[in-house]
Amino acid sequence: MKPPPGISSEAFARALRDFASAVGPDWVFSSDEDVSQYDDSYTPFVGEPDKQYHASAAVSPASVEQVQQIVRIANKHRIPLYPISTGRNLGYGGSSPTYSGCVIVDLKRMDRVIEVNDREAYMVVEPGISFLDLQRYFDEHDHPFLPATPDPGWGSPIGNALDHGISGAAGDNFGMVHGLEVVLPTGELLRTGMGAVPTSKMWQNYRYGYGPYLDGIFSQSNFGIVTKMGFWLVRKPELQQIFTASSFKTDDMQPLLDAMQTMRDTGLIVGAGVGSPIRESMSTNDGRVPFGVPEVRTLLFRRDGGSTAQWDQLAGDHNIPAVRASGVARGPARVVRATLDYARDLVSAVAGVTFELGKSLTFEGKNPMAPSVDFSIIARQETSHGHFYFSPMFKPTVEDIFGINDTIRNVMLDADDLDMLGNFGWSAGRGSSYTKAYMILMEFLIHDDVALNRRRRELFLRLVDACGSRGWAEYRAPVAFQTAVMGQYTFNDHVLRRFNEQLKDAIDPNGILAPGKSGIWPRHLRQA
Amino acid sequence: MRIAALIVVGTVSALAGGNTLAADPQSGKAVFLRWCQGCHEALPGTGLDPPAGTYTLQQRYQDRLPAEIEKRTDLTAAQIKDLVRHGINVMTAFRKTEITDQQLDDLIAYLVKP
Repeated sequence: MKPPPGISSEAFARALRDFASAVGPDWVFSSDEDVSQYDDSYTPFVGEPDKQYHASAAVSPASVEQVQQIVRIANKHRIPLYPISTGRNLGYGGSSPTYSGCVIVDLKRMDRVIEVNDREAYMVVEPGISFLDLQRYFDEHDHPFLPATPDPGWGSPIGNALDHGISGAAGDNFGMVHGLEVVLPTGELLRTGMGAVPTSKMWQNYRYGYGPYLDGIFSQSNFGIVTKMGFWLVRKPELQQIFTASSFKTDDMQPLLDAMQTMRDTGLIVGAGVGSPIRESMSTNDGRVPFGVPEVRTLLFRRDGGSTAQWDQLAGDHNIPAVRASGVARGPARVVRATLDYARDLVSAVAGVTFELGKSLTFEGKNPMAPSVDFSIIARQETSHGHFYFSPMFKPTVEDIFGINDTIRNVMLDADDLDMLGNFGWSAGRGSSYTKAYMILMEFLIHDDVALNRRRRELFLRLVDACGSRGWAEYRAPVAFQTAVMGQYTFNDHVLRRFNEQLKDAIDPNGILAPGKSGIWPRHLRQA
Repeated sequence: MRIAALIVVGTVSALAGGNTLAADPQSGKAVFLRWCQGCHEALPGTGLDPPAGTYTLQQRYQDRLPAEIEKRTDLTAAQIKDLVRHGINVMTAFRKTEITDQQLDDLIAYLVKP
């Protein structure tokens, strides 16, 4: 057991005794064996233990009152805390703190469904419940909703939303949030929005209340421990139908993007994306099997990435489209069918485009979008230790999609990392989560080879810098890189970070809560 | 219709550190279904993604041992404890707030064949 920095063993032992008196001795973990389970299972520092982040202990409350007691004890003894919900945000840190020596506040035992409202389509839950638990709960109680799960589904709806997580059901999961209960770093309890009106029944109906809208400051921050959260829910539809529009001409990408974005803007479809199947045909970044077109790598390994004419020629030669846009219609079957008719007409206005229906889902009985624990993609890649993600955001335009691919390719060529470039290949990213923003989710696999991991971390930081300087900053980051990513938000001499720090110092005067989370450090740990 | 309920979903029903009850294979099966099955269930048919754990073990053992861990007859308590608490490859460690010591003993009672 190693105490937090600056805390003596005796003082730490006193703090642990106080924690035990708050939650019971069985729920304070301080042996090396127990505490090691909070290490990041997917750390990018395999074989470099001195660089890894380690907790000093863990404490697991069962109630809001116990969370408040823990926070007060931490203030008394100046112990840094790091709250986790289910601790399963793998690829972004899991249950690991951002600062070694933190005592983990493991909220897994607080796993209650407080309310599910069928008529008004919302729920209130605690942080320890997982999407898998939630699906079981919906099934057992016949609630007609889709959990807004990412994959895998053992994560927490609250933890996921707070880190701006995404899902097939809802897209932007934090966008569904309506009302928070938060234990502030002083131990005081806050309810946001209409939750601050004791007699109100509107907490989940109207999220703004009166005055500044605060929910957002508790996401990707260290300003409080969220103990309850309200979510609007996605109703089970009658039908969900994917459709695609393909072309062998790269120049058709922008008009197809325009068609998809128009349908999204008007609410006709719930998801859209675009890709270039020929350019992506040798990528293995997401575990897919390469199509066996070696010329693809020849073009992608060139500085200029190949000309439009060369790609279109290759697409035709191999009968793999140069462009494929996709959309998702969801709702009553006859409304979906009418939407599909409209979509077919819209994309068919672009000459040479082929419209096709893709996978359809029906929702009677078992939820076909139910949470699962699918690690098969990772398992089939060459990693012994998992992965982490590079995830920049960009516009759904041809200019941005090709621009960010050019940037990524040249950074990888500069780094002479052809393996990484070959695995990544080319990507238009994921377009289905946010209406007007696309994101690349680039997997960095973690290996036994320490030197290779180090080169990949350096590559990651070069990508952060190169993409960030062109306006494509990340929306989310693993614990080891959160400060670097916050460093890309530089407007007016980093005023965003400085404002966050002002808030931090005011809300958390002792700087005990999650130091370094999202690049926000308390005063006593900030570098001059 | 306003359905309000305070219901414990029931992740942790036994104390994390206490081994006060005899190990129960039936409870262990429930632990398996909740925490292990997602990655360690049977291989699906052709064309479907295999679950990660079963796939990995199939690659490793090449039919020398069953890839589905419920069919294994050689697993020991020490092996299972080590794998659950420390993880291996892309399998993560499981904390005592997820699988308590009692639940781990139950899981061992389910998976270790006499």
